Amino acid sequence: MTGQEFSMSHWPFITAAYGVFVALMLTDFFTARAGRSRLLRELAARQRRAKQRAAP
Amino acid sequence: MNALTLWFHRLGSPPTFYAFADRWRPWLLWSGLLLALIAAVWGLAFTPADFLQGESYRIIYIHVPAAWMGQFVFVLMAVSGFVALVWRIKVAEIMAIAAAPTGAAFTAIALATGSLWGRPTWGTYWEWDARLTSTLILLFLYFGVIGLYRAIEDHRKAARAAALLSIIGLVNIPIIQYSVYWWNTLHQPSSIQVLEARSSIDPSMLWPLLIMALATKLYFGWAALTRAQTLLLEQESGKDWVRAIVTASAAKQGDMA
Repeated sequence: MTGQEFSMSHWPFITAAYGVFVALMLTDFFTARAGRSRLLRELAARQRRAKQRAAP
Repeated sequence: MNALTLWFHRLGSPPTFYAFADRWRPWLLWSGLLLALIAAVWGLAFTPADFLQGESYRIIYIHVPAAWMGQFVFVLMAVSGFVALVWRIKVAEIMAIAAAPTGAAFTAIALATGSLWGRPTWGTYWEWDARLTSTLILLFLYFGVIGLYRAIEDHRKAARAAALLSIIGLVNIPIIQYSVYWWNTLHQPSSIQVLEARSSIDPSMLWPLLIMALATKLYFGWAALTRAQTLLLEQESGKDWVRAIVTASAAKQGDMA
């Protein structure tokens, strides 16, 4: 194997490594963001229900 | 009391901390993303190939920052946990647990990318060598902290138990750091000595690595503050300041709809 062939055979590993990085970072990003948005929606719904119960 | 101490004391108050997080989150996220893109493009396209490892060394630009973050976040969790246990500060309890998922993600990235680097470099994906095994133990410690927190119903008791585990787990950090010197490992010794400000990497290859290291820290700041805000809203849901935030957020959603 020539030096260039040796180097080129590394790209599938590099692509897979960057793919893992992007996939795990996106998972972390969306999990963190979704948790906050979901809780805010839940608390808003709870607040609305409490207001409806309190109304005459 | 000097201004910095006073600021830290104020930050211990949940509403102040929430407002502080709200102010900083967008800056941390966008600057982190921009720097990560610059570092990735620079590292993949504009740095020379290594004379010995060829192209495969380019994995360094994600592997090393992720490994640094895995350890850095655990130390941060243990420090926050210590503050939470000694001074009973709620925000410190929350920060300790809010940091864990991103720390675990970085450790998993370090293990996976290291394995993908190991195959063309060492000829194997995995070896039970001291550096790799101690990093795997770090990942299990993260899972332990997250699992322990979720297993206990009382939030404050759960946070204190998780804090204690992170302090005990801290013993693994020097083992990871010095494993390459204490044992005969397949993993190479550190190319960069942060404390001695010394590096054996050529500057043309070093800059993207340092930029990616900064980008991962900025992203971690965003993720930890976002999760801390969620935990604060959950634990303080009956308080007036949370009601005001929920009302404002619902109004904003209504405007957008």
